[in-house]
Amino acid sequence: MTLLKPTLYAAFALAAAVIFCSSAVSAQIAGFIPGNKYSALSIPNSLRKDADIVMREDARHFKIKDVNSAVLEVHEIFTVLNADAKDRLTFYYTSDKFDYLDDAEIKVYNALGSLINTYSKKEMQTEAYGEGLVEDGKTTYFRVTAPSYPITVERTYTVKYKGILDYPDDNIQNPYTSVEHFVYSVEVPNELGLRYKTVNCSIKPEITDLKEAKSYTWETRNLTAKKSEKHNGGSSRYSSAIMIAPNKFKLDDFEGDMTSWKNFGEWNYNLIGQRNKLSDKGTSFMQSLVKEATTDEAKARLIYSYLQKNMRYVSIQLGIGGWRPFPADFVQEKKYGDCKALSNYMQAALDAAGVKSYYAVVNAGTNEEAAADDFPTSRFNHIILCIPQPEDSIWLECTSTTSDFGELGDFTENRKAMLVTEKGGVLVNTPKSRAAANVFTSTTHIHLNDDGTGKAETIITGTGEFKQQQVAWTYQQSDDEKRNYLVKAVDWKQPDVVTVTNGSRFEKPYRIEAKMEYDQLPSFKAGSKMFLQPRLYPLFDEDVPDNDKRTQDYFFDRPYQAQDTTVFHLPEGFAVENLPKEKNISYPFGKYSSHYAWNETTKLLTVIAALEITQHEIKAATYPELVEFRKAVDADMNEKIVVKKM
Amino acid sequence: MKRLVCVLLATLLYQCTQAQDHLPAFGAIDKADLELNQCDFDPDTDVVYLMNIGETTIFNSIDVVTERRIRIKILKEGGMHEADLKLRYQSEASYEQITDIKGYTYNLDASGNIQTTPLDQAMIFDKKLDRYFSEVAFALPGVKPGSVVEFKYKTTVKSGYVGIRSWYFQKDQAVKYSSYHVVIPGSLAFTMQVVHRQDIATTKPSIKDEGYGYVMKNIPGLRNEPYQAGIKDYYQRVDFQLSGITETDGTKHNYVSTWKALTEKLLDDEFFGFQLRKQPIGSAEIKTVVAASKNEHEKTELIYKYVQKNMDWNGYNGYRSEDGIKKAWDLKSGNTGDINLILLSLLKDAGIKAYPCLVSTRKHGKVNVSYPFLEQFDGMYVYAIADNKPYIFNAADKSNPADLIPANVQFTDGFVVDNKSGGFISLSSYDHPYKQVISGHTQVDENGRFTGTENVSHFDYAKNNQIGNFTTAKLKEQLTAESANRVTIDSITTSDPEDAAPSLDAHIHFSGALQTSGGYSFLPYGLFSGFTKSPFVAEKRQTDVDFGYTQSYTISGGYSVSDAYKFEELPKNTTLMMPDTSIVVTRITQQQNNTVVFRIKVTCNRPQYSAEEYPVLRAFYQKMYALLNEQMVIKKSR
Repeated sequence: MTLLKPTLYAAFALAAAVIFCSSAVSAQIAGFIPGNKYSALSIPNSLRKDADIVMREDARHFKIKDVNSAVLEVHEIFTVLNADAKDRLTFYYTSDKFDYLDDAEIKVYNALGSLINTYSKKEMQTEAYGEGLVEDGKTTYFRVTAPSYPITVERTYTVKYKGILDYPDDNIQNPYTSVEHFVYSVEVPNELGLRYKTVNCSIKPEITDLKEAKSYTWETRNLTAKKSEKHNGGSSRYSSAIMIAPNKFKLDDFEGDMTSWKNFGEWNYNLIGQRNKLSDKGTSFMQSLVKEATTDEAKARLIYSYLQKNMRYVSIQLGIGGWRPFPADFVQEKKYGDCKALSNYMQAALDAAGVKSYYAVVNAGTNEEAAADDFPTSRFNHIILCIPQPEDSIWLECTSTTSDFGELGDFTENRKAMLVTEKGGVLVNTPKSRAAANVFTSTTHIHLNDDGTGKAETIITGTGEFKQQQVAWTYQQSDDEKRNYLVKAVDWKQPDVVTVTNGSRFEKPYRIEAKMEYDQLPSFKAGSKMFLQPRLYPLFDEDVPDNDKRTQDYFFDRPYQAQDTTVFHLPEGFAVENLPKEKNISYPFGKYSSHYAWNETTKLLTVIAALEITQHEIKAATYPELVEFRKAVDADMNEKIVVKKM
Repeated sequence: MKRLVCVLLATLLYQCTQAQDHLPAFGAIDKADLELNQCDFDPDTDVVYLMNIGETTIFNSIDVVTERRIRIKILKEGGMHEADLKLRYQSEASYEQITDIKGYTYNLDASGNIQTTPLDQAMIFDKKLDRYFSEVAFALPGVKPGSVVEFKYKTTVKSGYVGIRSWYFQKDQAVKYSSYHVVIPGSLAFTMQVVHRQDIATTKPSIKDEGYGYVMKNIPGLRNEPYQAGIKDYYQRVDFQLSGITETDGTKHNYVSTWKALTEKLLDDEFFGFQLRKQPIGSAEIKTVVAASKNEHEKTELIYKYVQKNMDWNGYNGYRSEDGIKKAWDLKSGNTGDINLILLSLLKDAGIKAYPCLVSTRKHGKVNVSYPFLEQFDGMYVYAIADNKPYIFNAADKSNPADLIPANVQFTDGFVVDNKSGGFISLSSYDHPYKQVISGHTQVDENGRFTGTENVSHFDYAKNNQIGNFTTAKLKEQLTAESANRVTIDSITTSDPEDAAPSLDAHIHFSGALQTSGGYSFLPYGLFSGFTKSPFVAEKRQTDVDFGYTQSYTISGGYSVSDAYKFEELPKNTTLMMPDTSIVVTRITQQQNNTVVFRIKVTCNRPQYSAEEYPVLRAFYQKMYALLNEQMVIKKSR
């Protein structure tokens, strides 16, 4: 059962993702091009293996002038070997009001390395980007067309910064990419200094003293291409990169210090200022809303419910590089806001009701990587809210009208968030995803006739992410869309006639009922026998491909439980010829059990199965066991129950 | 569903059939609209456009001013985003402006009183999108399910080009009341195309006597459906085309339009016919390319392949050249117009009879032959005749062979632009289906392990469809996933996609263990047929089903099973047929000792089914998929 339908999450994830992170950029090391880097013929076989693209030259120079200005010069030459890397031929640079593409040139060479075309910045297109209602960024792009492969592209461009929150990282190597030569050099005035961290590699910088400044240079050569394995939690977990980050920074008039989470949080705190205070009118409204409630949690529930029913998410990404929320009173009045504005409003509303809470900055997205304790940066794209409690703090997702109170879901669970407090930033863990919070159940009665026709009725319930998925497909949706949930999302055996009804989304678990008619219920018939599938859909349908040499970890989206009961009402005169054996499969990461029972008196054949994924991250070394688990579960799901007319 | 009714109105002819409807004033809301909680004529809709009103006035024969007023009832949460507005306009050289934006949100409070919240002018954002376009964006405040939002604005288009945009009565959401009026000075004449299936009233504009007005009511939303051709064809709407201008001195300019007049206009166009009269490009290169050709059609195909291979499509459709074909040829890149004009120019230079052929791709919609306007087309392909063999070429499509009508225009009408041989031609060929042939054989040993081989061949449109994905690594991943990781793909060899062979072939070696329950094991009819589930889940359908091709699938194979097993009673030989015999499915299974051979054939000789036929088609598909997914049963005998 995979989440097929994009929910609101997807929409704001995209919008949020684009505001905060300005794309990784870079600079030119003039004149350093040994050998013929333009001809595809000169690429050694070792760099062709598993590669769609070869970075012949990847040279960047980042020069920091002062706290809010810098220049990045990039010079890259790369050969695209085949159409799988076609997208990489498109140059794009995304900027906001703090940086701009100063100059750019693109040259294109054929397989032999002779120049076909040269394009200047004038020939590139620039347009506003983003799915949100209002965003302040724009993208400059140019699409190089390839009549044939291989093709080599040389790009030289310069980016200027007039306001810096973060320094550009540099990815050394992406999947299916080999690297002939990589060099990243950074020049920084001594009074500013910088911090750096290498990821998945151990390259040491060469540090040169330039009197007033220092220069750091990371360099490497001849890296062979690496493949990317499916469901690996994002290839950045395995790719090598150089991260650099400022000690001091400045956006508009807001200067800050990033040497510690505490200091970075302080900057964020000052940015919010008095914006998290409701007016007297708003305050008294909140106080009267919660007047019956006695505990902090009860008050928070009332206010969260008010938020979900009255405010809507509208993506308006403005204000100090997308970091400053609209004031709480704005949201109170207009009844809309983005993740910052809604979380800030929720904090203000709780504050008015006497409940302490913290605005929490987080990097959202299923299985996204967590921020590092020892390396403060601004790589975040979303805001949530934390109500501290003596045990198990309450966390709220303020942009969703459908989330249950206190449930974040895998969009923001299992990672670090920076709480913005009066004492500065504090990096804390968000809750860990729990299998018991994501439960799918289905109970089905199948009435089979002796000609193979039949009827079925089912009740499906869901909590956590299952509920979110079910709500997205069925709540206030058309009849056909509800059918799609059953047939496409759950992959139910397609009925000839079906009606699907759903319960209230304010209930937990959420509930869906379906009544179905089938022209042919058994998998197939042979003579007087009918072969029945144990249930009408796959209880476990995760993609776990065979691979005995896996090198990257495997990630489910979340831990979860799925339980199924299917009761067959057999026609008169029929009996079970063969009943599959009971199964009990258990691994550290997951469990599966099934039970088959036949009652001759009542003519009821009952099949019960339970699946639990207890750990959603599985180490590469354990992967063969996951494949064994998948095979064993699959074999039981595909058992056939043989029933026969006696 | 009623068939499309297209009404072509004669210039300046209108009838006043009813008085103006009485509508509530802007800013005044009826409580009943706030209490409304469903839409009786479209229960699936998320919102209802209670009013969608437009009035366009052309001043001084040049300024086109349109006033819009829209009132939307939000019924469901999914419709709240309809209150987030983005109005795009052409801002280049101040061509267009959007002004006078006002808006309100109406809600009922807990005690049933109407609350009105105005749109804050400070929260209206105007932003440049790119060189040509800008956008006004705003979110109406205080919106939740049950709210009614209302807004109005004015667009002013200044400049010499006088045009009126199409008016859509129908949207993807329900519309209760839609009206459009145009006030046109007597010096201008327009031709209208009205597409409607519901009643439409024609009225007089409110201000002056000159012009036209239309009102349509209770229009259900039109939504996306699988195998849907150009949805635009189905929207109930009115299109306008300027057909004539009378100057103050009485001089008349006629802009219409007959197909003959359009042909002449195009042949004189700087970026169309003119491009073909210039010094031919690439003659020298082509001479070597065609040097070995023995006859006209070989020569034609070689030139087509040369352009197809050497030009890269930039992703844009167009029936004219963007900046001249010389530039496109130098860049080795262009839109469909550029690339096909290059092909045309080279063919003509080589002495081949070839013409420009205007097309409207399936997604773009059908062409109305009685409405001679170029906006109906979105591309220009090449119609060539060599050794009496007709060809339709789109050299921008890298995977289409010379003898196949490009997939995106198959079963549409094309317009050949030529003074002598011009006119409409039917771009349809029943000879080339979407064709797959699968054959194989599998051995099952006494322990239930199987090994087998399968040949999968893709012909014609199936070949075209598969060609981009045809590498062994991708196929292996795709086939493994299709088998839900149950079959191990031991090896795959593929034919070279560059090869001129009629089919694209994959030869697969596979192995695995049979699924066994209580001594029974199950053998599917073909492992890699790709028939898993019918695409037609929805019970209702508004638009026609358009596959875009006829279809043919043959799956044959066999199982040789160890003596340790015995076959249970085999599935019966069967034929399934659509009532009109357009789809036929046959399945034959034959047993000889411990070997079974089978053959399944599916043919579909109609590319299109109307929405009225959908229930029959859906039921047939359901039966067909059940049949294709049946399995044979073997039982261990010792």
